[in-house]
Amino acid sequence: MARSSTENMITLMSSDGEEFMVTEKVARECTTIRNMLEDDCVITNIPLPNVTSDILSMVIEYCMEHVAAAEKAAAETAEKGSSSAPAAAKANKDLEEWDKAFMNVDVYTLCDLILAANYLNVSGLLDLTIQTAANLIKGKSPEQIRKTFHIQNDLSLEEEEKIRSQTPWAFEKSE
Amino acid sequence: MYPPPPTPTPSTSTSTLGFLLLPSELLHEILFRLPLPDLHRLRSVSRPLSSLVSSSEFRRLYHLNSSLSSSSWLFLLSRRPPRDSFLLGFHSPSSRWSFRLPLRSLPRFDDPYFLASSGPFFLFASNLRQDLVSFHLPSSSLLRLPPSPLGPRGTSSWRRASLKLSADPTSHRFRFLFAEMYNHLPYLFEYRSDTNTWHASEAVPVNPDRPYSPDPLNVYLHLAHISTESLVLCTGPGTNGPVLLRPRFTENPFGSDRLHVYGDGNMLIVKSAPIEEGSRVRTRMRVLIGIELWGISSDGTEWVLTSKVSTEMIEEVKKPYGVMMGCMAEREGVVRVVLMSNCKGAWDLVWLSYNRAKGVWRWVPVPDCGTKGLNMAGIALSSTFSRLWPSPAGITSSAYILR
Repeated sequence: MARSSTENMITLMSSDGEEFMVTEKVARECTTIRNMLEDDCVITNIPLPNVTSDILSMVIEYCMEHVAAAEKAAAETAEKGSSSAPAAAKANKDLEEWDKAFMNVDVYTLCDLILAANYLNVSGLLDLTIQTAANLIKGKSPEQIRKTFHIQNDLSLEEEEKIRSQTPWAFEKSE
Repeated sequence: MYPPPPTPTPSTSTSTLGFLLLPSELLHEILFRLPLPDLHRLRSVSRPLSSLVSSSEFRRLYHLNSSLSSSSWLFLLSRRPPRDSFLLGFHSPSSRWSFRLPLRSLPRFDDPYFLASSGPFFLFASNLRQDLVSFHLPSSSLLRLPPSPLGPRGTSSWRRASLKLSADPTSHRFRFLFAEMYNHLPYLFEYRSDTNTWHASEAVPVNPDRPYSPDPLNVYLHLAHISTESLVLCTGPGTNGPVLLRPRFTENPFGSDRLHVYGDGNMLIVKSAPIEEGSRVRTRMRVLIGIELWGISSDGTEWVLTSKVSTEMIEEVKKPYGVMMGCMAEREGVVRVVLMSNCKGAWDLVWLSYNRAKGVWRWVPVPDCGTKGLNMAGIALSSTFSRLWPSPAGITSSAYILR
């Protein structure tokens, strides 16, 4: 996509020293960065000591996709004078599909993304990652949950049995 | 738009943190999105998760923050011959059948029909013994209710629109109310589990002694409809006794092409049409053509249209069916409706909810509950089940021994 020359570019620096050039619009998707920019409008270089380069590049990818989708919707509205409901619904669905594919990551990356989304305050990404983590738990047996999240079982057989016996209905296998 | 390439990064970066090492407020955010059975399963995953979920602090936060703590469950009793029966629970926000309880383990619990659910209690009618049995989930205990003042009643006598189970999720007590005409007079029958007694009171028309005012705490029980008028019994806290409302329609809304579903002072009119195949009319198969939600006017004298389901949504949810039944409940400004229809032995569930403040209908797709040739033995909605939590000590009261 051709960028207008008037668009401000911001450099984001990851904890491992990698630099990412992004448009101000994309950077503003992160509320934390937006607040920094509003406090000091000449800032162009932002160090992010809590985010590694591989995670930061994913956060940027997410923000770029969502900015592009919003721009496309705005352009369509401007062109036609009003947005057509079916087209908007299709665009929403496409973005949902993109989000879904974007969440095809291992649980460690997912946890890092949750932390980064929280730190950078990207509400859409935080909601998406939190929901993805919750969905990974839903409907799973304790053993499957341990496997998914690489959790060590430190409960004794007796303790486990006792917990199960308190709410046996929660441990019924669904078909 | 291209989906991003799958990211094959088993992250090796040093910042990699496991799920359990997330800051507690983020971990809480994840857990707030889990329905109750999943939370309970987490307790047996590991010691840190067990103490987190079991703590009274987490329980307090869950009820305060989780939108799921007041979310609705649909329960249904499925029977499979010869005597296997399962109570199945569908949780609407997570769109899953998350609850499954086999009832075979319960002794002397023959031929149950599921009537209602509230908090930790499930109420069944037994056809064999013509009585009512309540099941308290945390303690797995059954209580056989004494016969109502109307004597033993078979399962076919109970009408969903005219009964209500009401339990405080945190207490061990419940009330069960039903309305019935007795000697041509409208009566409210109320059972209280704390005293194990029934109480009957006659409903009278609204008068200065017994005024009527709409209140979310009112209980509305539908008695009958006669031409363009309904008989609705209403009882509320702090009143002198039940009143009889006679809301009217301006036109006759009753016909063979209409199914009426009642619940919490609302009425749903489900309109359908027979399906025509060529020149032949298959009289037994029908298809939805419209759904209207009606409510009682503030003075209790009229039915007023609240909202219609859009034709687009009807197109989405409609399927051919032979028979249909439904239930409806309202809580905190949201009306929830479940329509259950059967087409040649296959059950289909349609869950709709109407948000009063937003004036918006929503359709929750219900996946197949995995029971082929399901023999349906009652459905009910509960919005208090998610507040159910096992007390660390375990709730076992000697009051719940099958009598």
